[in-house]
Amino acid sequence: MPWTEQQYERVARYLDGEPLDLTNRELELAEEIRAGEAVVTAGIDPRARHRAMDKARRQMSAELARPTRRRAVLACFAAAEVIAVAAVLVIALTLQGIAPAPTPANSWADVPLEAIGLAESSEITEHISLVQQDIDLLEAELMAPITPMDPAGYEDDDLDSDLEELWYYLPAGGYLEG
Amino acid sequence: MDPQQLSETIAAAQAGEPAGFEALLEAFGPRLYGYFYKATGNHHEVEDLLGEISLRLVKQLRNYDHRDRFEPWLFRIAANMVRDRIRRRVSRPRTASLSASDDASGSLADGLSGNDESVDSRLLAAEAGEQLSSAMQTLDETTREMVLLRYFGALSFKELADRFHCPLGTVLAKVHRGLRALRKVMDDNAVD
Repeated sequence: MPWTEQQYERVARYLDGEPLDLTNRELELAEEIRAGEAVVTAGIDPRARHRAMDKARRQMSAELARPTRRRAVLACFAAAEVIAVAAVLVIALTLQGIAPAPTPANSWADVPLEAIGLAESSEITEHISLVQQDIDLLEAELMAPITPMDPAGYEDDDLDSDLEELWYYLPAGGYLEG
Repeated sequence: MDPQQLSETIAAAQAGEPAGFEALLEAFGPRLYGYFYKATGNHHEVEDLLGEISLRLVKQLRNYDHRDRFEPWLFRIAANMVRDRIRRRVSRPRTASLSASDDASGSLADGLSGNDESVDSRLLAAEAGEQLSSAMQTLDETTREMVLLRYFGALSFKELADRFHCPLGTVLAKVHRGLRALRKVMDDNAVD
C-alpha cells in the first residue's frame, strides 16, 4: 500500500520529537528512516578522515594565526608613526627656541621708514651730503693757518705789513715784553 | 556536545578564541567529512572541502546568529560548497591522477605501508564507500542533499522543509525513497 502525504507528515513530526500515536506501519517507517543513518554513513575510511582532519586543523591554525600577525605589523606601523610625529614636533619646537623673535625692536631692517619720520630715502641722502659739506669747510679752515708759507716771493714789504698788523692786534698798546 | 556547551563554544570562537574554533572543528569535522565524501565520492576533493570550510568557519562565524541552530547554518555553507564544486566538475572534465586513486581512501603508497589495519579491510571499506558514493550520485540533487543533510547535518525534517520550501510530508517521502534506492544499489553490488 503506498504512503500518503499525511502519513509521511505524521512520521516526520514524530521523528522531529512530537509525541504522536503512530500506527504500527508508521512506526516501522520511522525505524526504517532512523536506521538509514547506518546506510548513509557506511564505508567511510577512518584513516582518510583522520588525514583530512589533520590538514583542516593545520589550515585553521594558520588562518587563526594570521590576524595576530597582521595586528602586530599594524601596531609596529602605528608606533613608528607616533615616534616620527613626536620627532618632528621636538625639532620644530627646538628651532623656534633658537631663532630670534621677529619683533620690530630686534630688527632694524624690519623698521619701516615712515616709523622714524622719513618719507623717502632721497631726503636722507640730501641731509648726509649737507653735513659732509660743513665738515669739509671746517676742516679746510682749520688746516689753512698751518700751511707753510712759500719763502720765495716773500718780500720786505710783505714782512713789514704783517708785523704792523701783528702790532696792531697785540693787547696793551702793542708792546712786547722781552 | 550539548546545546549549552555548543552555545558557549560558539561564543568563545566568535570572541576570537582559537580553542573555540578548534572545538567546533573537532565536533563537526567528522560529520562534515562524511557529508563531503558522500556528496562528492572523492577523498582528495573532501580534503580540500574540509580545509576550505574550516577557513570559512573562521571568517564567517561572526555572521552566525545564536537564535538559529548551528548545524543548519554550518551545513548550508557545506551544501553550497558542494554545489559549486559539482558545477565546476561538470564544466571542467576530470583528469587522471597518478599519485593516488581518485576514489580509494588513499594513495597506493598509503595502502602498501599500512601497519595498524590490514590492507584488505581498508580496501573493503574503500570499496563500500565508493559504492555508496556512486549510489548517492544516482539520486536527484534535491533528494541527495536532503539525505545528506538529514544524516550528517542532523537537520530536522521541519528544517529541511523550510530549507527546500516544500511540505513536511514531501521531505520525508524523498528521504524514504532515497534510502531505498541506496539500499538497492548496495544490495545489488553485494550480490555481484
